[in-house]
Amino acid sequence: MNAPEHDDPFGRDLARMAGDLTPVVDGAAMAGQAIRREKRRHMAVTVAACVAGMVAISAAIGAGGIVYADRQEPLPASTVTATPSPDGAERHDEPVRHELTYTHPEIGEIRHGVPAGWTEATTEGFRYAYPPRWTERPNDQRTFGEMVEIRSDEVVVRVPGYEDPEVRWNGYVESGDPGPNFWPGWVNTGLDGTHEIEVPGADYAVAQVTEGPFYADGRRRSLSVNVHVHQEGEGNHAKVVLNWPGGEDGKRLLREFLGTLSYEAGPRR
Amino acid sequence: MSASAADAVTGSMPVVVGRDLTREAQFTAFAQARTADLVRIAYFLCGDPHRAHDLAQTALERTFRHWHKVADGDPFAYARRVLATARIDTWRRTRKEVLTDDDALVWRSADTAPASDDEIAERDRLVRALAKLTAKQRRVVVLRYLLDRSEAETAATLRVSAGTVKSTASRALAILREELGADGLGGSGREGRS
Repeated sequence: MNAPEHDDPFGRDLARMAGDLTPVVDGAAMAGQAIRREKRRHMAVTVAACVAGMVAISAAIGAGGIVYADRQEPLPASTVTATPSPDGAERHDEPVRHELTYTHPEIGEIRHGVPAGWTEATTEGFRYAYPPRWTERPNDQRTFGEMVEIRSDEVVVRVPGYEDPEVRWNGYVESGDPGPNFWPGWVNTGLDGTHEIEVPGADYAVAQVTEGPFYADGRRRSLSVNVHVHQEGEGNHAKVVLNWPGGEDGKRLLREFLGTLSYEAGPRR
Repeated sequence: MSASAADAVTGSMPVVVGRDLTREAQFTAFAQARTADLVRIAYFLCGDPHRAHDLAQTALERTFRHWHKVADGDPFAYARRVLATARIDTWRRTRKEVLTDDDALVWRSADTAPASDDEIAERDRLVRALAKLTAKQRRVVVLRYLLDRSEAETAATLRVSAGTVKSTASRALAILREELGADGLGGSGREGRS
């Protein structure tokens, strides 16, 4: 900080009143969120550019059809036609229209246990399970503990030209950093869509659920979920971030997933 | 909590931006060191702890987006400018709301000791006085007097002329004198009160 240039004593009084108090914030967690959001934004922009390009190509094909094939019906200029992918990933037949509305759905009753066929996993003592055919892999974007990514077998949409063009439903599970619970100073529980949930072995568990347009495919709705958990007895902290399908099926899947969370060792309740 | 995590929470970790680190690692080191300062600035600008948190988050995202351009310069200055020019129109809250919402943030002194009641009371009195200013006046006061930026730096950050900074500051200080003067500034501030 520069030395004060102003010589107005009143200005110095203001600086003194402001003091040197700084808020307790988790800079690493906020950095992680910034990185993830920026990557999502980048992907959304890429998808939008691809769609715009396809619209333009479609329009050109339509115009060309009028000129060079007057016996054929030109393609409607407003139609987007993407090449079907070999694995059956969804193709775009309509222009993407993002419905920019966000809601905070109730998640309903959570029943503890692992649904049949789900795969159980543990990260730094934090237990969870993911649906059949989903996979798990380490992730190096951790901010305070060990982090893994879980991802669906379903390819939701393809984004050509990207290093990993297959966009799937996914989630990040991070656990570690034992000690007194620091989440209450970080998590804003005054936000809509905030639910206190019960997690066995935890003395703090808050889920925040928002349903809105899926960043990679505006025709779909998706659930954005943040879960913050603290293990009882000054244990580990855990954070779960989900990019999850929306609708009733998504909420059912979320309920089942939240029911698998636990910091308890031994057999499941 | 581990020592490293405590550093991350208080934002006291020094900036370690090694060229051999990934872009994400460089940015995370920067954020660990400076996010608390960004939230503090945002709080003085908007007077709402939740909004301050959101503004700081936005500043971090914009900084990361342009990291390839700002990393070798002064990324904190870039982030500060994002804050200073952001929309802060959620300011219009009642005094009660400001005080109630403030519970959402925990504040510490520079020596990491918990903030005393007196420190918080003085800070809050200033925040309420700043609420009487326009957004433009508040930006100037925060940069010029709370962050000790020069007139030229303040003008460059806000992309206005130095004359505009001077005149805006003059009007803002007059309002603040009126707001704060009646109760006195207390402590060492009394001698400087005009």
